[in-house]
Amino acid sequence: MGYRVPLLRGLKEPYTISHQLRKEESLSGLWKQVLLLILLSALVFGVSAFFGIGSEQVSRTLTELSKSEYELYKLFFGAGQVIWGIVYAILVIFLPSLFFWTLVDVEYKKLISIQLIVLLILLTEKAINIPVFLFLGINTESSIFSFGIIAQAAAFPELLIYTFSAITLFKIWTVVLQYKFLKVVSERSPRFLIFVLLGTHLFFVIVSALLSSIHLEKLI
Amino acid sequence: MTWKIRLLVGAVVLFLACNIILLFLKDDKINRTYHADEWTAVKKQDLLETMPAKGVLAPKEEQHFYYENSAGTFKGFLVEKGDEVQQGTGLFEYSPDDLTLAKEEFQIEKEKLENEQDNLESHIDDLESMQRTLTSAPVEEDQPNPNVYMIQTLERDIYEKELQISRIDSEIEKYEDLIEAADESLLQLTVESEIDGTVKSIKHDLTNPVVTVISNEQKVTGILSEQEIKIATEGMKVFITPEGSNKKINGTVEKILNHPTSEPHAETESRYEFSIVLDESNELESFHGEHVDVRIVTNEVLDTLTVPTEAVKKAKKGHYTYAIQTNGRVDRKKIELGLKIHQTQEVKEGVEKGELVLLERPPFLKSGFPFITSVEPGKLKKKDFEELRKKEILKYTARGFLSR
Repeated sequence: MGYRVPLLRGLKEPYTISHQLRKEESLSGLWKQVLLLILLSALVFGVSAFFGIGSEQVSRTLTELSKSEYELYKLFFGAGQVIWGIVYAILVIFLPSLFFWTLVDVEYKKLISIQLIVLLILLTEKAINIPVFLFLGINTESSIFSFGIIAQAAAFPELLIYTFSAITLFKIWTVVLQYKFLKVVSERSPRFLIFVLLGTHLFFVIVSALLSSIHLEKLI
Repeated sequence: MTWKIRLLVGAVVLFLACNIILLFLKDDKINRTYHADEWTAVKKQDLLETMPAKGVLAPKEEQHFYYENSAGTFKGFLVEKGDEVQQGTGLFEYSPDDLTLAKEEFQIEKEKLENEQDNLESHIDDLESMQRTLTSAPVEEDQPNPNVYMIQTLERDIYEKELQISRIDSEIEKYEDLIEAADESLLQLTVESEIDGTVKSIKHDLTNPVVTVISNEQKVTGILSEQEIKIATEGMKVFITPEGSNKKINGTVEKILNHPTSEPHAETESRYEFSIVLDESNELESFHGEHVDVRIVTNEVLDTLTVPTEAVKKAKKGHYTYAIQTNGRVDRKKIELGLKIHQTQEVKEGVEKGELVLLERPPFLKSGFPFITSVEPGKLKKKDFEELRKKEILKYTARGFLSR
């Protein structure tokens, strides 16, 4: 029997759990957890899409399409979002862990466990944002948990606004969490870890900002 | 809580507060997306302002028939209470006995006069032949005719008799008229109904009106209050709906009595009666006395643009509505209001037919916001799903996949 990482406890007590993680030889139930979180991600993205969050592009067609066609459009848009939710979960779980694995000398499975907790945080953010978005009428760039509002108020250029809006309290939380875990499970120096973490995150933030600014969905 | 956590919580709260304050303070700089729940198209329709009233179905006409002594003796009723009658159906009749008797008397009188006239005429003839004899008698020349006096007397006699004849003539004429009148009366012994309807009442004691017939055709009568009578005028269109049915029948306010139904009293509200004629070709197969809902059209605007009242937002400078633009954004539009009826508002200026307007005034909504809408599975139609091409499905899904 291996050790099953308690994901929720990992949120509250990263220190205890990371020590446990270091000691364990093998992990059990990891794939089940991965699958569960992928499904959860699909669900959260699905709910978000159900309320139309992110579907400004679709709204443009409201005046052109019939009501039923418009709803169909939104339905498939939602389906696309759900698929993206699955892909997103897979990316968050496997990509950064692969990244860390090459740089830090830690078992890949353990890194996946850490990323599962990270994904849980990110999905929590997404879920909390749904009612906040609907109530305050704000979109991703103006999330109250991000620096996007400050960037907009300061009238930064568009790319910077996207970059800042990608930095949220929850993202910072994940960085801190990753740092805490990695510090325990790896033997690398804290400075190196901070460097790796910030580098990784900055890379992802900039990539996502660039993608946002070119509005990929409009190209189709 | 350790001081570390306290500091952390404090920092987070400060950050959120800062963001929320900025959200409102730098309102115009912050991108937002408005979640639209409901929207509707601007409609072009007729607007009718109506006033409800209660009505009751009544016979359109009520005809009274009177018994007149002069027309003859009453013989009997031809119908019973509740009988259906058509135009021309006999209701009651006068006895012919008196009339025939009278007619015979006139006849005798007339014949008597005619005999007398004949006698007079033969008498005149006699007198004339006598006169002729006297005139033709030989007379000596230069001698006055001794018969001149006689002739003159005869002439006067003839004249007198002729006068008598002409007097009798007029007498005969009178009796002829009387006989004719009696004949006519004999023909009019039956009193006929003038309308299609039902016998409402019959007075066997012959108090007038002896027979009352109500028409099958119906009208609606109702009561208006003091306020209502000020609004309603004769000639207004009316919609009538029998209670418990959804038929709608058109009518017109025919008459509004300007005196109250009961003696006016300072402490009670006066009520006024009014009646409605049903438009032709609107046969109501209902009973007299059945209650109907009446809606009097007090104001009417034809072919005008309307939006639901929820779509109208009041601001300091006039009224606005939020319209969905083809670019996927909402636009604030200044509108001129017209007639408002229940939940429908006429818009005189500011919107076009078919334009989509938002129904609710969301918090923080401004002009130029993009908007999003929830998926409403109830509005999906299977037919459209089947017609959708694979390429489009892929396109839509890909947009969803790539959208942040």
